[in-house]
Amino acid sequence: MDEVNRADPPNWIQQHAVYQDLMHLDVGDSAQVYAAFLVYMDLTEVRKWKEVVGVSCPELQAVLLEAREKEGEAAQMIFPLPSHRSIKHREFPNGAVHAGFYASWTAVLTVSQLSTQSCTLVFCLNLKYFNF
Amino acid sequence: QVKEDMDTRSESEHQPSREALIDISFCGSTPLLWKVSVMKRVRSVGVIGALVGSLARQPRAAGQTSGAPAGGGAAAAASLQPQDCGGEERNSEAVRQYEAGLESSYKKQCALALEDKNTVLRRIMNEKENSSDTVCDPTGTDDSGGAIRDRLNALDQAFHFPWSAMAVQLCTARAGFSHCPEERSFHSTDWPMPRDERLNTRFCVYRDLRNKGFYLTSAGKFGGDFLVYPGDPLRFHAHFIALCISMDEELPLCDILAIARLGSNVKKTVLICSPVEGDVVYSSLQWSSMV
Repeated sequence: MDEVNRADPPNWIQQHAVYQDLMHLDVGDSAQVYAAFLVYMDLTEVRKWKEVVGVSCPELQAVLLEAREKEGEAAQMIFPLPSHRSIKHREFPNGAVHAGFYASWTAVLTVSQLSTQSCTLVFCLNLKYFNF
Repeated sequence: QVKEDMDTRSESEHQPSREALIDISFCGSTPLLWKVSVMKRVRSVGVIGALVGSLARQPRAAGQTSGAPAGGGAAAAASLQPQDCGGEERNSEAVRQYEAGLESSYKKQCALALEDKNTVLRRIMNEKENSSDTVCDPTGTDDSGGAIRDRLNALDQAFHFPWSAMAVQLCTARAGFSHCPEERSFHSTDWPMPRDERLNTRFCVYRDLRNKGFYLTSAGKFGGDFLVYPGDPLRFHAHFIALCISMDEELPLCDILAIARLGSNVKKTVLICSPVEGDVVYSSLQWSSMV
């Protein structure tokens, strides 16, 4: 798993238009962009989510994906992450620190399997600013 | 269980809302309370603990339990820190009472000494009168008898009991723990727990949640810092598992996953709590599998 996260993505991915678009957003390290691409493919091809779009987030230094689960539903913010990463509380969505930003997002962990090049979404974590 | 390897120290801390002080003992870094009455008072302020061990069997030990505020732990004990509440006035009142006590004790001792002297003189007189019957001493006996009689008669006026002759009780132990501010500050420098970053973070969160009215106990069983109850833990289930971290502390995602999943299994919301500029920021974690 770690080797995959450190190695370059395979050729077909590197030449994929969407991957190149995400790279051109010029934010996030290559492992995070790679994870974003894998999640993009999973959401569009496997789960058939709608209007999946890459969004640049300079505060988090990451590529996020904005997507709707079904037509007409509210857009959700997805934070794709390679599973070996760590995260800080400062990076969570919260009203005090990220004024004007999304109130919540779903962190999606990805694990790539070297042999089959398939992406396994480990789990989805809803992170929300909590108000008593 | 008895922790034999650690040394035990006693320390007094002032509880802000009450007049009397409570005594917190430390066994290593674990704060302990010993008396049931103290436990009740502390619990009524919202500090919850867990019972630890039992006292050795003794007559009249049946009603006693030992309690450890393991619930809040260090944070709870820290919340009972001394606060400035007019200790000066209470101190001078205590001094006045003590001096008044001394005064009344002096008067009683005066009276008793007078009575005692009276008795002694009478006895000497009687002895002299009795001995004068048997021993014939015409020169000295009558005079000394007369002198004593005179002294006896003048006793009430002539008697003087000096203040320095008064017997005073010196207490080697005080039941009231009414340390004066100087002693209190001396003791508080002895606070045995290291004031590190982690304890400060936990304490900020503890204080904020307590101010919001929640009851907190330890969440060691769930891998968190606190369990948050909407009311007394004996009456409610916990709603939240609170994890206290600083804003910039890095959390491995697998750890977040583990605690989120656990929270979902035990039907509690996981809260990530961080102190920020005097306030506390809370984020909730909810695990959902993608369908």
